[in-house]
Amino acid sequence: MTTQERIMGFFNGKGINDITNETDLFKGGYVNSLFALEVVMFLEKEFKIKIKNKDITEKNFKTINNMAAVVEKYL
Amino acid sequence: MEQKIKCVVWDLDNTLWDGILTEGDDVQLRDGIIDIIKTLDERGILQSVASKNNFEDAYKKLEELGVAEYFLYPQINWNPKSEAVKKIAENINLGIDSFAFIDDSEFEREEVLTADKRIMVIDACDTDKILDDERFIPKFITEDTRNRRLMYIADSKRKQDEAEFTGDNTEFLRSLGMKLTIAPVTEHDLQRAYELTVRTHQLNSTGYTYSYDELKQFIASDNHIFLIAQLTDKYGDYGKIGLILVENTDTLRIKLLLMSCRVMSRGVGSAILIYLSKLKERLNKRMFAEFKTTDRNRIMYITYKIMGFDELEDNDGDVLLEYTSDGSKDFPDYFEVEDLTK
Repeated sequence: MTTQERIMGFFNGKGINDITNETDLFKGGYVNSLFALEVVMFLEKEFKIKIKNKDITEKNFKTINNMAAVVEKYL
Repeated sequence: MEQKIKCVVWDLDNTLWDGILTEGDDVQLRDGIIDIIKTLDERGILQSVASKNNFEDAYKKLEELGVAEYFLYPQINWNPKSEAVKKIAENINLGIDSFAFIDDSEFEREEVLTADKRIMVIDACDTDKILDDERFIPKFITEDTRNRRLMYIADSKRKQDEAEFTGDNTEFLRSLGMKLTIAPVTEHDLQRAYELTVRTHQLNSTGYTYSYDELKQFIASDNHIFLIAQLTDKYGDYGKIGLILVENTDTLRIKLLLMSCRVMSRGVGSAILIYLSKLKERLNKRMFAEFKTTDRNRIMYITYKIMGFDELEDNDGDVLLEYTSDGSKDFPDYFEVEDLTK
């Protein structure tokens, strides 16, 4: 599975199915703070990484592709 | 200072009422109990029941005695009472260290205390003393304190519907019909504002606390924007749930941004930051935010970051952020936002 697919799996598991790797998750209203925290915790657990504060940015969490790019920096 | 009691769990037989229901006694509330129940309720102290009885019979009796409505998540079954207490604590989302358990049986008190030493246990014959006990006297009684039980009831209905809701979280939020009101803090709100600063840990950006008088000065200060947020939805009122303090000089500096845990996952933090981004645009000043890292408030850091704040410096957990996103954002469509500051 690609990094994108693993992240998509998390969103699907939350009942979010109508998105692509390029969907702006903020525009769709999918990402609020609690959800963002869940995403960060999911990424850290799933990929066994610790995301640094400087990488927690609006841009890095905007799309699944952007999240995957951040994750891959740590792998 | 010892933790204040926020929830009292009652045994029934020979504690709340005289006699034993399963033995066919015509049970009546013990003398003075109704006053204690009502007074605790007015003080914003929640109440529940842990009783070994048949649920239908015991609950019907509570209704007949006119007190059923006071008890949240009553646990009436044959399981250990320590489990009942744990379940209540989970449901109302409060720590066991803020619980008191009243029972006439020494065995039950020991069982509960052994499971978790942090709980306060009280012999039923000492019930008449609790109203004068410091731990049962909240520092302030505000409108929100008095309505706390009703808010929890609304919340339990909400939680049930949320668990049963199929569809994604955004759809659920849309179904709530939420209205967020942002207003300047008035003198009338000061006790609640104080209560929020001392009670809120997780959804709190800095944890700064101020004395009542300091808070009062912020209302009149030309150099401060001091706001309080209230949330309602189709289930009822969450009360005044958010507090914002911004230093307004040649720049804007967010000193305090906090929300009650009861609105976790409602998107209030993001909405407030969107509100502040609009304010920044209107005043045409740079906007900074102070943040103090604790082991519990990472979610607030994330809120700032994903809402377009950048970190400028981090001195051992004392972080300074600046809003750097272009322009302001729009409120999510699941909120109706009422701005009473103009």
